[in-house]
Amino acid sequence: MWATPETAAKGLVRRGRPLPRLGERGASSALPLLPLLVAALAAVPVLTVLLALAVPTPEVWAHLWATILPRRVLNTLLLVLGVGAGTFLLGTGLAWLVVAHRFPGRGFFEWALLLPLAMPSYVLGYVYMATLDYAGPVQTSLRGWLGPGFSFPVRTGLWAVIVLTLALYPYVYWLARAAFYELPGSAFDAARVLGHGRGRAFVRVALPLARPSLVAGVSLALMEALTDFAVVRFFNFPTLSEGILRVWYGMMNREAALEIAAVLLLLALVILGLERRLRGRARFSQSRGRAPGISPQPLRGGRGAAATALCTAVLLSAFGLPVLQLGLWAYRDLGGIGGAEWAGYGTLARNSLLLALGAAGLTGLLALLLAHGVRRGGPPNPLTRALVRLATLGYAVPGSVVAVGALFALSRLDHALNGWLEAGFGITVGLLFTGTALGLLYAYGVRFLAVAFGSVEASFEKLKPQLVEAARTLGASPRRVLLRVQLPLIAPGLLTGLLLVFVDVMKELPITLMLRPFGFDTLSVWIFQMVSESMWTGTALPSLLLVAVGLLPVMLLVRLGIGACGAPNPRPQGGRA
Amino acid sequence: MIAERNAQTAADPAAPGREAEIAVRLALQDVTKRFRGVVAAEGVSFSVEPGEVAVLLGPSGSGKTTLLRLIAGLERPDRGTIALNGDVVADPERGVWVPPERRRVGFVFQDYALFPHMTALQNIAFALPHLPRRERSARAAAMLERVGIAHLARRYPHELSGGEQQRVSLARALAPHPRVLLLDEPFSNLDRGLRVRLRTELKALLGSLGITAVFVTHDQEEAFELGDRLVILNRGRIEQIGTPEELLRGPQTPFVAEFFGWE
Repeated sequence: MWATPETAAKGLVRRGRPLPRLGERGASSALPLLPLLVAALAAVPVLTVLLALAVPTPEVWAHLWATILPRRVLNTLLLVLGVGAGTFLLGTGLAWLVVAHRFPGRGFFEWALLLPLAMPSYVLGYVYMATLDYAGPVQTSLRGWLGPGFSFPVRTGLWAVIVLTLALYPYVYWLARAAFYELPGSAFDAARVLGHGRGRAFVRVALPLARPSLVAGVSLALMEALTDFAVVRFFNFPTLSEGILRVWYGMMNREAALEIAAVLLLLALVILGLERRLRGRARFSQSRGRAPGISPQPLRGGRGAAATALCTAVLLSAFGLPVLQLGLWAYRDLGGIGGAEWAGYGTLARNSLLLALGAAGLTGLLALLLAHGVRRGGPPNPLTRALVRLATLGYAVPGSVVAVGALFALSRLDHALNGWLEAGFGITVGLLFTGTALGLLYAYGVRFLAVAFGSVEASFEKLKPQLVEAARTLGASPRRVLLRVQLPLIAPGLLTGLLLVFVDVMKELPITLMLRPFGFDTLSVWIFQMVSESMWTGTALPSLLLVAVGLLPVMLLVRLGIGACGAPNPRPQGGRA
Repeated sequence: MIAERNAQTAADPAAPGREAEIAVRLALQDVTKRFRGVVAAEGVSFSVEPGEVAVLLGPSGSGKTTLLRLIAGLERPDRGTIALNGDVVADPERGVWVPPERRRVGFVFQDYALFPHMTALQNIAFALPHLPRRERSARAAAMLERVGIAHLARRYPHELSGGEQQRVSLARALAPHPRVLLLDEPFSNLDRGLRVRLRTELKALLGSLGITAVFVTHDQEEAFELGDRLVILNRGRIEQIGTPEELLRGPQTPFVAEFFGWE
């Protein structure tokens, strides 16, 4: 019989009543109740969708396979291949260029190449579509020079792949760059001494050593590509994610949406499995410590100029020009709008802000409960590891899958609750979760818990266990230890996690679109709807606001990353003795 | 007032402080602890009389630190009892378990385990939550003075040298008047010269406080200088217990003879 944490915290100990223990070695396996609850809540939507695979409805399946599924499965695979190859080449290439070479502007591009992270892919998508389409400025001017017969198709899968590659390559770039910095220069030099040229040494030594990071970066980009339904819709390249929304809204066929979500989930799980395999048992990315890294090679003359031109071109097409175009539209918009429009924008911004703040607070709290809860039982064991994996599952699957799963689970809960209250008490409460802010926050929590948890967990990991033990021997209860020692020390990590979730939710589209309360519009939903009506100017200001918010985590990354990798850490360490 | 008294006792190591009155007896009976089958302590029984300094001495892996952690309540024994002043604080057979925060033991960790987000003064004040704020600071300051670094009160741990951190750690452990002071190789991270000086200071301080203490080390010189009684450990078992004189007179087992190089 275990005492509850509360009695332990108050020190109400009686003889013969063992208490839950510290996180010391050889700890007992008291059931971590709070983490269990968090994990169960977080896993429900994904499990709901998985269940649809186990219990298929044959007539829905048959119809789907006969109509929309084959093309969408094919398109999704093509998209995954295209974006995978594109982000790998662009991200890895740019990272190698920046780490192992010296050329004009290198210091600037090193961090500036991360800027596209601030650009939501659907914003980049509609800017490209609007400027490149038949009636857009690019084709119109080209027709002016080349004759009225000139045109090229824009609404194709190729352009969807290009846009998503430009929007998502920073994931690969960021991780690749860090991995290349960590490479021991000696391994690279050894390959050179053994007779390999720089290029061959890159392929034979640098790439394999950085493989775990590269695989992680590409799989992050692929998950985003699977989640995307807006870009592919703008470029008329229907994928599974797009199909979920179309079936859900266009045909109000929820069973079919669930089945498509199940197929998409299967695909995501295959990619995750591949990632595991490709990462393998190899833990190459160990820190090289103080050993010197790869010495950058100066690129002179034409080659240096080419490197600068390449970086400039990528940065302009993925960030500079789109922001400029948004600015132009916004300027045009500013001329024509009045108080009503401003009030409209204000409401959108407020709604987005409230949701993002709420979601950040909720996930932060859940992440704390989870990280602290699994720690109370001692070192990680199979049970707690499984709980953590379950609780953070939502981030590894496409947002549209989470949305469908959450909707199904919540509507079942709502109907059960309502039926029970009506039968038992004669009260009709209606739908408490479906189509309310509560349901929306829940789905955000499922999707983004992993983001907050990652930050919080990393901070907990860095905390020396002796600090907790010292506090305990000084008479502090577990609660006091948490409040006075652990929380202050993990606060930076927690805040980072909150910021990341905040920005993710501000930009989030599929979950918001499918679960928002009726008539409750956010910046992202507004942008999507306006674009669907081809009203570009009305989207510019909200888009710029999202880009500005998106710059926050980029700045954080730049500050953390460049400081840690580029220069030795100037912080004083240890004593002066 | 407290500061005054502490200043007095610090000035005259022989003067008995009030703390001496609360010195208690520590007793371990048949204490056994295994980590995944690996023996860390096997049937260990010994006692430390009020005001006595016991030294646990042995090579690394002999279970010294585990015993200290068992006394503090940072580990649970598989078997056996641990008692402070007659109060059983751990006895798995009868289901008795007092968590570390209720044992009133002071623990000085090998790496000091100072809270990095608190100043030296705040680290010590953390140990005195039951006092009113003003008194808490006064007492913490008095403790710092007692270990000779009152001028470093506002420094953060990373701004202190190893020896200074060690003193803060000691002051923090002593601040709440623990019943027993446990020290886990507190000098191992310091240079030799400093170690010898701090050792002399610690001996004087423990003498003036009259507190019951258990000191873990693998350094024989340290053990002989500090210990009223030495407990020689090997692979979780006690090889021999005795005063430094008794041990010098004759080893009782081949291990002890070899350990001291008397063979």
